[in-house]
Amino acid sequence: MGNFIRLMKYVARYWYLFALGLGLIVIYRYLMVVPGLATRRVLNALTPPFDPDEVFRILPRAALTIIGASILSSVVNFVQMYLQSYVSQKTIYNLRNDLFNALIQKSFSFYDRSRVGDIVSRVTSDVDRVRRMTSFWINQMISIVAGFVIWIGVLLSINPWMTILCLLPAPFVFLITNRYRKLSRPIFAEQRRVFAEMNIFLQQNIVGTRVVRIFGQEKREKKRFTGINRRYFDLQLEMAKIRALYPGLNTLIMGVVTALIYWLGGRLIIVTHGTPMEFKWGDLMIFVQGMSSLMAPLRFLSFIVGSYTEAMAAAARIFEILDTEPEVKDKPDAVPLPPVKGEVVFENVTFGYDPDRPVLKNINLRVRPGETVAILGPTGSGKSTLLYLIPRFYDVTSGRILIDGYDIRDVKLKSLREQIGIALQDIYIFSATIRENIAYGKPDATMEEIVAAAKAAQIHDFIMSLPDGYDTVVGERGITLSGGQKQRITIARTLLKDPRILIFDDTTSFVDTETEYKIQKALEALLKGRTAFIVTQRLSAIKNADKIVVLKDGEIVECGTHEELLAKDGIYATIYRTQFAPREEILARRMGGGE
Amino acid sequence: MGWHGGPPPGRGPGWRHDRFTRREEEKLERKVSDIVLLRRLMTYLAPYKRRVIALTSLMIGAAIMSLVTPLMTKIVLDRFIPAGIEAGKTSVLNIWLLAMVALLLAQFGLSYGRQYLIAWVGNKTIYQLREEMVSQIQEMSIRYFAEGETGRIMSRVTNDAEQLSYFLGSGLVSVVSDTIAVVGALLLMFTLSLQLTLLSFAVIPVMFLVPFFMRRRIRKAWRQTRVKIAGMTSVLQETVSGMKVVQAFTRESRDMETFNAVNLETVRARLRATLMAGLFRIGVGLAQVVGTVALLWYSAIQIVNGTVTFGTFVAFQTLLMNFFRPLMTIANFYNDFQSAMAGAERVFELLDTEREVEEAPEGELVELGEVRGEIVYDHVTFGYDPRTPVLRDINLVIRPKEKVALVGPTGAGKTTMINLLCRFYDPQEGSITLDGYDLRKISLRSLRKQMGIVLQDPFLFQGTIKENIKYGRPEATDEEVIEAAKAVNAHEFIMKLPQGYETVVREGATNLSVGQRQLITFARALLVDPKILILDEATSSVDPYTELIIQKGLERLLKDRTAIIIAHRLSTVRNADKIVVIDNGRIVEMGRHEELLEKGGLYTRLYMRQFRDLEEPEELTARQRGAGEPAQRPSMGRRPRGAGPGALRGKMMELRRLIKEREAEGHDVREFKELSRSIFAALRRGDVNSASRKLDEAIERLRNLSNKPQT
Repeated sequence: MGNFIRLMKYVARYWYLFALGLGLIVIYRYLMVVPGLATRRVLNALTPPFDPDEVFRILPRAALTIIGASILSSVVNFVQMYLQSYVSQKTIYNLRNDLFNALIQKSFSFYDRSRVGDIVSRVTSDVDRVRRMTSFWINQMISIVAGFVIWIGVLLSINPWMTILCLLPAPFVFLITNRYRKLSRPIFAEQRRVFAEMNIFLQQNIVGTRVVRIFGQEKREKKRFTGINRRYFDLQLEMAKIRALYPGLNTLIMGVVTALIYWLGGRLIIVTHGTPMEFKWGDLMIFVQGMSSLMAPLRFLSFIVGSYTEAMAAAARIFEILDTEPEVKDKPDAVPLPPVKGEVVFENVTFGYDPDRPVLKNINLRVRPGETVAILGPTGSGKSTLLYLIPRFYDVTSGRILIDGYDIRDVKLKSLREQIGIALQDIYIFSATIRENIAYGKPDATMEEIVAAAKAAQIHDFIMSLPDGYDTVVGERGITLSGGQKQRITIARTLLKDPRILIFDDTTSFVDTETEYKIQKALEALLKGRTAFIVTQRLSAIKNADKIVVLKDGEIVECGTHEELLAKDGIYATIYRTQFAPREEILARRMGGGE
Repeated sequence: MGWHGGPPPGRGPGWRHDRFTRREEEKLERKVSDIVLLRRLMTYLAPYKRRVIALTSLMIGAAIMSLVTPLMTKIVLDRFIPAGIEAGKTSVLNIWLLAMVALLLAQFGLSYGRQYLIAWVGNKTIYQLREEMVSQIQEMSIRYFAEGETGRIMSRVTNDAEQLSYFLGSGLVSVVSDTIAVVGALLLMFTLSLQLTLLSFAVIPVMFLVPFFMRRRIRKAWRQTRVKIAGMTSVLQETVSGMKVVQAFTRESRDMETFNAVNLETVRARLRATLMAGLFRIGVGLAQVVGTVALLWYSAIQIVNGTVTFGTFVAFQTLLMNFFRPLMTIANFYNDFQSAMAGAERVFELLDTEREVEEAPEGELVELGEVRGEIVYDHVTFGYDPRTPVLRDINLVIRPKEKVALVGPTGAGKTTMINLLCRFYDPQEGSITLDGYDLRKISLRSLRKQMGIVLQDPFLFQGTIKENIKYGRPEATDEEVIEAAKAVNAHEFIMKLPQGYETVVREGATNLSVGQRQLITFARALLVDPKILILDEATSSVDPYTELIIQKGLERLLKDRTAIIIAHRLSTVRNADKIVVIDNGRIVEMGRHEELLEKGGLYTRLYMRQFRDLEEPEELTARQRGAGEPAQRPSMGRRPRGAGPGALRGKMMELRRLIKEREAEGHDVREFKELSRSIFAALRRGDVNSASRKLDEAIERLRNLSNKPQT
């Protein structure tokens, strides 16, 4: 109920339109009955033995009433529908904006936990479910109630026994529909699940076809598929049975009741024939019409009830996003970080995504302005995590990080991140032109700046070879770039931002040897005077760093320059030898080749 | 690899839109005629002939029933009630009621049976088609499995088949019954009242056709709305996927504006569509009310004149509905038919793809038992397109338990060598033998039983780690699984996982690192204990640390079997018994690591390239570059130094050393001194490629110089 009220608060901003819409529904419902009543008069006049004069006296007036009421009701309906749509659209517009605003402030940890598809579906499908409820549910309820009251009133004034007969199928229709919905829902859900399973099976067997064939598992896989396929077939049949049975039962019941109306009405006509209380043909026909008008919304009713539960579940998912506070946010008394020189200090920093399982343990590291720090270590040793702490994508569990002496938690996030350029490991290219992608962090950059950044990232020549140059659209809707090209655009994007502190998180893994070398050369000049953190798998890129940090299981195990670490003969030295020893061997061989 | 390819089962509006446009496009590309497709589809219905006949009769029955109900109404109004009034008793109505209820029950039965059979026939056919498609996928030539094709193949099995199911189940048969219903209603209307029928046809087109045509414009408005929603979804999807970048570049407020704009657009589009729909309703309402009033008016006159009975008037209204509703379905049939045929064409296209190699005929087929593992390529020539051979005249003998490494630039034909050995293809010329048997004579099953394969992209199936290790030998015991895992160094990390061997490999195996996944595939291969093991770039996607770990597992895996190894990282192949260097489809060098290094040919150059500070020889770079990527002119006018050009510096030093040495030996080295200066100049220009080549040349010549007798 809390969620319902909260949703209604969104609607309440447009309460006057909403209320007007509800009022119009009642009017519309009444106008809908008028043509039936006019027809009744004509048909009553036609009940034999009829008086032709009276028929022709009634006919024009009835015709005018019918036409007038229909026009009026169409217009009222139109206005009402539009209002309803307007209110619900405005409501979800606000809701979506609020959601997006909440999303954009969420911390990295939120995105680590959630799946993109899930988030997107909350903003699209769940919001749509809520829309259906706010626009459909309430209006439909009012409409059904108003329709019921008006029709019952009209019918009662004609004949109470016939009215009771008309209402007779109501509980059955409602119960049958409800049962239908309840039975079909789990089957439908199961169908979707099996269908998804079929998709996964296909994907795996297509992508992994060589493995399947070499391991000779075709028969087993086929059997597995037949299982899924069979299950899907059975579910479809089960669904078909339910689909054929329940709506069919409703049709049957309503058919039988219609027959009963003719039967009872016929009896009334016969019995009252010639009496002053005569039951006429028009009376009979309006009960036929009235019964179906009363029953039709009942078929919806069950689905409306269902949509309420569905919408409340959707609302809960939406509010969950709105309500979780971002973990990293500005302190109330945060100050803007003044332009920095670029000193970065880690003081006893411990961090874990899950506080019980620290990923980084007691990190102490002092980086002077302008130094280049290379970080290496095995997968999962905490390299990326270490870097992500600097722009405060996560907050440390204990200890602190200082930039130019400021604890980064005491400064405004925006001012902090604006001074840090980070090329992330997840390369992300937006569906836009290359120019926009490079200028992503600095939308007002000049073309010269963009080209300079692209040149430094060794992507300029490639861009120029494209038909539209920098205006070529890339990403989902444009041309597909290779991993290396994407990485180079990412680098250009980071360089263009021109920050004092630069972070490169394994950003050249897809770039070929030669290009990487060139990028490194370009970076050498650009890094001058900036503080830089570099994670890479390639030792040769590391050798020149002012400081090499070797991480293992979240701890700094070695730290020093290339020469210092070689002298230490630890992990770094081992790795260095495994990668470079063979080359030394070649050279040695070459040198000795003459003998 | 396209792990996330294919349409998701949860269908976002964007996906629906994409699918729609795709359908539209493919509809235009139809190649096979409808008749041919329809005939072939009919063969799928043939096994269920009796059910199809039953279904057709049920539908015809239902169509006829739909005519009887209005007649019954007419009878009660025109016959029974007046008769009752005349006789002054009500009991006559009881008979009618009983008949009516019986009729309704029959109708219920018919409709139930019809719907059930529709679902049965449609889904059974699709069940069958899907079974065939999956068998085909398992046996079709692997050339169809290019990257990016996954989604397309999948959608044939899922979406296209689904669409056919509706068509085969209801679409096709209902056309027959709908036609009967329409003709029947028309005949009945004429019999009941010629005047009312004629009036109806004057008025009714307004009532039904106006909305029928107006609906198109409404549809367009709704389509617009869907496009806008799809647009909003894609903005959202993109921002959420790239949120880390958004935040890293502090773009929050700008992106909020973008989203706000698309959000507003969807609202506007939707309201516009609502407006259109509202106007449409008014139009329909007016048309209908005019029709209803005209019919009422005219009927009243006819009733007064006695030419039409009251019952006919009531029955007529139902009949009109029974006439037009199926008519609309028939009108839409062509569209449904077209898209079903397009789907059928794609389904059959899949079923008709070329299969991989054929088994030898019964008498010649060899079932291999335990093999020694001797492989011989004898003058093998092969091309995926026979006109452009990828392998030319390959001759190679691999002895049992030999470790052979295949090395060469991308596109040289290494993977093709393996594809032939696994018999995914047959060579066009020459033959490959295993233990002396021509591969073409060996049954595929017994051939592949001998092989284990480890691919670059460690491919795991959905399921637990244990199930994955057991993949090739489902009957293996837990002990054997653990033993295999221990042997390849996987046991330790598996035990560290929360559920150990029962840990479920997540979609895309995101809960395991590449190295861990690779170790699992090692264990999987080891458990099968194949006589021949193929490693296709098995260590390329692994970082140097992980490689150190994997290396041990690899050694264990390779023990005691014939192994063929493709590797980019040449450090992996150094210990091979034989290194085969392939370039451009030919074997250009062969020998042990040391021998090949002596030679100083392609292998040496490839080997040198491993080290990032070495430049690639120009010929290689040219081939490696994509067509779209022009030669990059180095923009740095600085002398390379430090780690990058370390090897070049090494070479320079060696050059100088050699020059001094030869000078000391009394050779004329002026030319080399000159060369050394020009190389230095080239390096300053940043022209590292040519510098490197000249260096190699110079060093080579200086070395040769020392072998020549002094003059």
